Amino acid sequence: MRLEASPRHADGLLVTGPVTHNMALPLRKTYEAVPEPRVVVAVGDCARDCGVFRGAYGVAGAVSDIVPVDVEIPGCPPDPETIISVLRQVAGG
Amino acid sequence: MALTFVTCLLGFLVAARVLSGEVPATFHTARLLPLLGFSLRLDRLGALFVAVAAGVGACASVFRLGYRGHGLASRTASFVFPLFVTMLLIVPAASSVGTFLFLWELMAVSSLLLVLADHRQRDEVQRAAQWYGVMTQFGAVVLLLSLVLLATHVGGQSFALISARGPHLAPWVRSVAFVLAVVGFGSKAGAVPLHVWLPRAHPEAPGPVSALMSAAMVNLGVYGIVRVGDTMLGGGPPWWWLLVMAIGGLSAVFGSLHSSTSTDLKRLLAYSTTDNVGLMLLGVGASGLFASTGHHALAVVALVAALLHVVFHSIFKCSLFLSASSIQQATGERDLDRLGGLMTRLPRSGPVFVIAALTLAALPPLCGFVSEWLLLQSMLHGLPSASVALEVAMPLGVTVLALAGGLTAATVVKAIGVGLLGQPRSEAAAEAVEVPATMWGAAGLMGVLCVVLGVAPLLVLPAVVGSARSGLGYGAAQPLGRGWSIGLTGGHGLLAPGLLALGLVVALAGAAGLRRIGQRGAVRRAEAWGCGRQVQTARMQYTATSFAEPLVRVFDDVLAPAHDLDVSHSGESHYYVEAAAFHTALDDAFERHGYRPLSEGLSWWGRVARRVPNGSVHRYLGFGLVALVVVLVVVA
Amino acid sequence: MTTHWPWSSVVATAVLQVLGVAIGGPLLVGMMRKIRCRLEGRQGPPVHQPLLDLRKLLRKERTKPEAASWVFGLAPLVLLASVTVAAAVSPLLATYPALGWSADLFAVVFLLLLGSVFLALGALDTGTAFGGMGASRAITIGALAEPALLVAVLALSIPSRSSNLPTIVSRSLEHPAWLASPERLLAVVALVIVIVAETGRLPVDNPSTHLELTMIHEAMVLEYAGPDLALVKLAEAMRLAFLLALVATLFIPWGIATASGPARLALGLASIAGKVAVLGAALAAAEVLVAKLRLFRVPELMAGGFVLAALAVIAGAVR
Repeated sequence: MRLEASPRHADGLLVTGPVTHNMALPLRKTYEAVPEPRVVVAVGDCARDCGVFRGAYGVAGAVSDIVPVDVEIPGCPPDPETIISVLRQVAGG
Repeated sequence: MALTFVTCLLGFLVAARVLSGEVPATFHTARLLPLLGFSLRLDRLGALFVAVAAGVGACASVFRLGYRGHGLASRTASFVFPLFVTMLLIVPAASSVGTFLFLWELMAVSSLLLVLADHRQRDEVQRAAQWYGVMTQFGAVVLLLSLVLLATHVGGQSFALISARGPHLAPWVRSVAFVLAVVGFGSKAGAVPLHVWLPRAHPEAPGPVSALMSAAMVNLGVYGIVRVGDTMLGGGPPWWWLLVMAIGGLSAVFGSLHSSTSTDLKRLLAYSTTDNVGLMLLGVGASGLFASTGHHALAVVALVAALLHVVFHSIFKCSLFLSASSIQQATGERDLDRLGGLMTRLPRSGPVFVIAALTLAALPPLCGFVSEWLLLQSMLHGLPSASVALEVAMPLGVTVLALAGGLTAATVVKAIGVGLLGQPRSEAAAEAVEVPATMWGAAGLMGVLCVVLGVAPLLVLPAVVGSARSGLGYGAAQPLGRGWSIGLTGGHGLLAPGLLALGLVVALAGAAGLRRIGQRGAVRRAEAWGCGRQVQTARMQYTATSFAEPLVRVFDDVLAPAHDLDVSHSGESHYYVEAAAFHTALDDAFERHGYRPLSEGLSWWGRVARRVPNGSVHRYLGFGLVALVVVLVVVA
Repeated sequence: MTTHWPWSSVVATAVLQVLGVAIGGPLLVGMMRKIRCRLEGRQGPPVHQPLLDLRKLLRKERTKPEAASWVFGLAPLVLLASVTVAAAVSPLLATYPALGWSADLFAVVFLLLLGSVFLALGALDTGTAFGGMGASRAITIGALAEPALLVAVLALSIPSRSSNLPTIVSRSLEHPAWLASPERLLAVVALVIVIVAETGRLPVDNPSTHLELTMIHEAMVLEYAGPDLALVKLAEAMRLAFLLALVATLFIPWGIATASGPARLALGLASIAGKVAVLGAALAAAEVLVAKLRLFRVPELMAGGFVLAALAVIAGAVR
């Protein structure tokens, strides 16, 4: 599992937090820059369904409203062990 | 057009016959130039230069067909162009001092008129022509002194006579004549410090003219030095050749430095001509140095390397200048900072420029690599040696070659990358239209030669070896090749460019195959990754100035760029900036420290001298009296 | 002089060398990464991870920026082809001439330059700011490394009076005293400095940086995806392996095969693999200890390399 400098070198995206208006377009562009096959992992309640920020004026929506999400990790915040085991499954399976 | 083309063909045929071993062609008449006579004799050395000039002239004349005239369509230019090309073909054949100087002057004047061809379109053309005219006349005067000195001491003006008696003249005569010849021919070749006309004249001259100047005329400077130093004077003491090598080395480094930091496409090419002339002079100097220390076989190799570089440089420089003119015609721009995105818009001129530029960078499997390799080999084999001059000069030569080569690679990447690739940096570039077939065809023909001669240099190598041996006076030719390889005797240095090219092609195919192994579908055209920012414009790309900025920083002692920052503030507050303008300029160090003070000194002298004849009759009578007294004293 | 070796041996050796560098390159990179991780107190990925990465990348989608032309797609091919040919013509496993005496040390240097130039062109073709930045920096460093490189090559060629690699290696085997001479040692150091610069390792460039403004080499490949990226990474790994193998052969030639035959070739393969592994480990350990140089200090490093190479030439010429 390695962090890459460019989405073109990556296999997937790890997204945390709700998507604000300003970040909607960058998120979309980043997603499109990743070559197929690609994976999107939404980490945390805010990424899944905006969590405590639902309805805030700056929030455009959850991650799944902007890009298709393949895996979700619930929790506010999620356990480190949960995150690692999910990532392991994504990478291994 | 047709006249020039036919003349070039004829010239090429005659040269080829001489090169392939026939007796040199001679021609003599006393009628053309009364008192001096007009004699021509084409030997192997001259024939090589004639062949090269013929090839370049033919391409340039084909190119002219499609070139939207500008000033070249005028009646003067149409008359002078064939004259210039003919002079380029005949000068190497001149075999007497009078003939040579006459033809040389004709060539200089015709090239000056051609440089002026565009003077109605741009103002800078006149200034460029002034610089060029002054320097070319200066060179001609120095040449006159040198050749006349030789002729008087030998007792005749024919080159054959000078060659026979030259080695036996007094050492001071030979040295003075040689140094003057180096200065005169060096200024024509564009060697530092007499190169300042090159980067001014080439951008302002029309395309085919700058191609001819860079690819055929500067060769004659190298020809002259070889002719005077090796053939007429029969070689000389090591310090002569160290001087030539020093000039060559300085030209190579200075030229490549300025070409890598220049943002004007044609100025970049002009400085790269200075760089390549430096490499040729490095080879000529090394050859003379070897001959004067007794290594005759190596002297041949070094001169072969230099002459091979002359041939190959003409080929790729012609292609480069013609392609650059095509680009200029297609976009109307010469500034690299305003070009870009042309590879798809100019599907024929673009690849031609790329091939020629890669040849300039001396990359295998193209022909520029072969001549640089041979030059490196000749310098390598000079070591170890008993002569101190060789021990010092050869490593310095390799250093110079390496630095110039590295900077030239930077130049080429900049020229291709910023000029042709990426997004268009201006509307002119975005609306570029491909040029007529005669233009890219002429440049493309030379590009094809770059590849063919890079893969099979043995096609021209025997002819070049013959020229070198004739120049040095060693007699009949011996081939430098063995089978498919170029090699020095004893197998101490071998290169098989054909096999390398074959290997590269096979490896390319293999790599392409590897890429297809897991390929899923077609290539997706996607927006370039810009960290997710909303807008990506062409202005966010690197320009030629920014590309060269690290180099400018590293070498800023030599280049001394001038930066101008103009900041205007809004209101009275110094904290709010309304507008900021930044201007940077790079000028030639020799101009700044040498020529400008010189021309200012001359202007001062002129102003002082103008006050002397102040209209007073008494003063003029006084002058007359003083002059009379001086004459009487001298005569008595 | 040149005795004639059977063509089958020559071609077989060339193919074996290319395969060795192609597979050994990623393994070398993996090993160096593992050593760095261990020295930093981490476990690190397995040594063959780069090979797995390559296999994965070959199966991904290929993308191309909108502004790019055919140069973008050609660049990874030329990069890989140039290092492949260089590996095929150099005496890594055996001293007998590969591809029939077709290239010498100078030619190898220019072949690698061909690859670098094309990579820079591919970067500029993307039409992004990062591509231009990477290309500009990489070409500047390359231009300044050229004098050091060619003068070091000159220093190596003087004793054997030839720049032909097989000749240099065989003569070195015949005169072991040359290998301990000051000019060889100085030339080694100069070459190592140049190799560090050309392959983009610390202290010149950090291959694992994510900060674009500190990137030199990485910035040039930000746009390559899938199979293109696989070719570029493979070519980088091959270049590192090839250059280290060249240094090993030129300075520690024992073990290289001097006659044809599968046993000798196997011994040659084992010895070069061992030497490259040792060199790579040393390089990786050194990388842990140094920090990256500021970009404008790199020319000073290159100048230092040049001075060492020049001293090597002087030392060689004086004896």
